[in-house]
Amino acid sequence: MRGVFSMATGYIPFIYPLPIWANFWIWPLLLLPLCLAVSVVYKAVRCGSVSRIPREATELFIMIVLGMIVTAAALDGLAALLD
Amino acid sequence: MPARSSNSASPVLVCLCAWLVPGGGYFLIGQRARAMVVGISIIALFLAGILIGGIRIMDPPGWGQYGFQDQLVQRFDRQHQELSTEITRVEPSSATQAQDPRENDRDRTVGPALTAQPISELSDKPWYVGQILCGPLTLASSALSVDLAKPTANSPVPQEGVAMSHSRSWEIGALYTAVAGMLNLLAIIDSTYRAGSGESQ
Repeated sequence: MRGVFSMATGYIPFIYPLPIWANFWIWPLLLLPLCLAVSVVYKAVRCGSVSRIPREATELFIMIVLGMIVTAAALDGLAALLD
Repeated sequence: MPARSSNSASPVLVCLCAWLVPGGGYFLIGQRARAMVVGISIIALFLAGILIGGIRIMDPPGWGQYGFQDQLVQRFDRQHQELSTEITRVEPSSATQAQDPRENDRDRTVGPALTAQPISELSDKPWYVGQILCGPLTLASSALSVDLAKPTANSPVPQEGVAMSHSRSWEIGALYTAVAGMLNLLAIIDSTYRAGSGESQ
């Protein structure tokens, strides 16, 4: 297996980290798929009927994202106040 | 309302199956749609973590930076002419050193760090507790990570085959994979509970 990758040059998906270091604005956006997965799995476990999962997972996803935005804004405000 | 199944699977079997394949527990108790939703979400999250952080975010306890098992060695104290009471942890950087981690013949090899001090090794890499809950997927990717970490050439300075990712790449990748494992734990508990209460769809 190692021989295959040692012959290759450049970026190989799943082997090397995603080359997005320069785009600092991408990092916070990477929390969105995580929140989506948490919402979907949580609601898949909690919902009695599978047909209710899309709607309830979407609501939970929006709530988590809004919660994070509000928390970030509050912490930013607090940091500015303390400075 | 969920119906009670007359031939529901054993909760132990459901628990094992849910760990082996994310969503497998629900599949076994007949809740196939739920199994697909949970399984696809967890596997996608896990793979997304590896895509972001690279395969080397899988860093199993007991294995070092260069893909060899960490060893414990009792050094020989030349000053007092006896074996030191302190145990030294050696992270081998070559296959030769992995076979014999001693610096000289008087040192004593205690054994692999993972078997001698499993809790200490695990506490060094606590995120692996979350990751391992994804089952054989984690074991397979860890094996690949360890294999790719081994140095490919005999250079004077040890160099990893595939370098470990760092900073945010590593953090986000480890977070994705560990959260995928924790979500699978949620699914394992729920499917086992449903199997125990004879619930199926």
